[in-house]
Amino acid sequence: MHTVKEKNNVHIRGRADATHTIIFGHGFGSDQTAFEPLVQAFEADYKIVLFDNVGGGKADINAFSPSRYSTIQGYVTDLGDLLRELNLENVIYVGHSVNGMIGLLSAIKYPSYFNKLVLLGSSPRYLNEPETGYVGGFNMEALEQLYNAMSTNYFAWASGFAQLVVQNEDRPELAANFAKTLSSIRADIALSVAKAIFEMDHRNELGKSVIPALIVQTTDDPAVPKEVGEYMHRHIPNSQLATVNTRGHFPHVSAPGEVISIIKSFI
Amino acid sequence: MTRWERTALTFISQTSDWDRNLDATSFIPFSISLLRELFGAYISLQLDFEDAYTAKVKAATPSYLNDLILNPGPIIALLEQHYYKAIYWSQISERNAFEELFQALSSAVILPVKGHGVNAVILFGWSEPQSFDASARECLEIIQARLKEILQQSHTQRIVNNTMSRFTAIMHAMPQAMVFIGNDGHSGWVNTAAASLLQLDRSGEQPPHVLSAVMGQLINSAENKEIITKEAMQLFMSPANKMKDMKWEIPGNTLLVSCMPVDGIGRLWEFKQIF
Repeated sequence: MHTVKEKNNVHIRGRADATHTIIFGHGFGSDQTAFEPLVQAFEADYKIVLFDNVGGGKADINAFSPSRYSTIQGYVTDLGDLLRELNLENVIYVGHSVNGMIGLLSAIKYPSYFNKLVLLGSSPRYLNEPETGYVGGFNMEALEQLYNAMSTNYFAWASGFAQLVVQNEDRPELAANFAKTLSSIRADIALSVAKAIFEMDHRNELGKSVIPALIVQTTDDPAVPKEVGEYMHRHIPNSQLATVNTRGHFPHVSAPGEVISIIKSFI
Repeated sequence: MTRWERTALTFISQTSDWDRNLDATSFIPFSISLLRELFGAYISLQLDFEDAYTAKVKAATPSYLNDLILNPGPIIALLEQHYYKAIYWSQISERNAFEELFQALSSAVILPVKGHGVNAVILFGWSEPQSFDASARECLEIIQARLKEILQQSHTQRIVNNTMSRFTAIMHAMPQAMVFIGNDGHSGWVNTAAASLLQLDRSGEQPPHVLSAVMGQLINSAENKEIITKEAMQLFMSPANKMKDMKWEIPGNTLLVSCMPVDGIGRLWEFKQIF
């Protein structure tokens, strides 16, 4: 059996003797390289831990189990393994998109490891729920179309999806970079993980977290409407909500300077 | 009678009709819930070993534990160490294979249920310390044996049902009309094409006398019924008990008819339309 370091392509940077550790967790279709500007901003003062989710980046593809990762709980267990194996403490967890929720669930399960949470473009549920008025941004029909497009021509879908969620059309290299990491995922794994993410519902867990959290949104995120950020802020105790002046689902990529600044203020 | 003996008897009595129930997936949650109540345990759950990377929590009380994923490696090592026998922890040690589940608990029982299509452990945990004396262990081992017995029965039934459904679907999908008549005088079966050919109101099980009657009618309607009757006599007298490609000239519908023995239990008739 591989170690967590091998399984999750873990890289440790920054100050080895720092009292606090920042872990960066990437979202679906991305990888640890997306955090490079943030890593450079914090590595002088913090120990930095970077990793790739199993199924993405350079994580061990053989460790992907459709069963383990049929919900995001498999990733929560992975993060618990990583915290234990690296013997981390005072963790500031910066999670983008699904990894924000993975960080939050991990902080509920293993609170003693965590100091702060930063949730970039995260959502507890992507599906709308008309009966309660919850706005998640997607309906089942839209998701079925998305799955169908992924199954039919994955590479074409990846390119189109990247442009849709990254936005910032004046900087096409941002969408191109995301399309590259997204396309490198095996199509069947991408579909399986996308289903686990888009159909999850962790709204009931939000209130269980005791770790101070910063919720970061952009002005226009096609994957996570502003109502989701407001919902999380209302339900996560001791949370703050900040809006970064950029569009798209990747604030740390499209406006790294502003994200660095608000994280510094928060931590 | 001790508390544990009463528990074992209640469990056996409450699960007495499950041998006939085909759904093992609902049996385990039912059993876990019943046993939790009987034991007065605080937590109860099933931990399924779905693959080498996945031990998934199911049927849990409290329900927030459901869907948690544990690493199977350390748990399987523990079970192997105990030869897959029940494990009793009167006092749960701080470091253990289930520490993510057994938080703030004093005692626990781990019942492995392996084989017969199930690879799981059933866990019970108590906040208050429990002592597992000989009577308790005997009760839990009776329950473990009962669980295995019912799961084996359910698994066998499920396999039989699945196999039957699959082969029935295949037989009904065949374009040839297929008629089975059992040697026991009680069993007969036709596929969809045969029901249509013989103008029966339904496919599937049919009494042999009904099948003989409708096949007799079909022969009587044939333009070459004398030849068919002669060939049928040869068939019944032949040691091989089989005949291939007899031609039945039904007006507007010529059939190639074959008959073959089926493993000593009956005969299978096959009707192919040639135009």
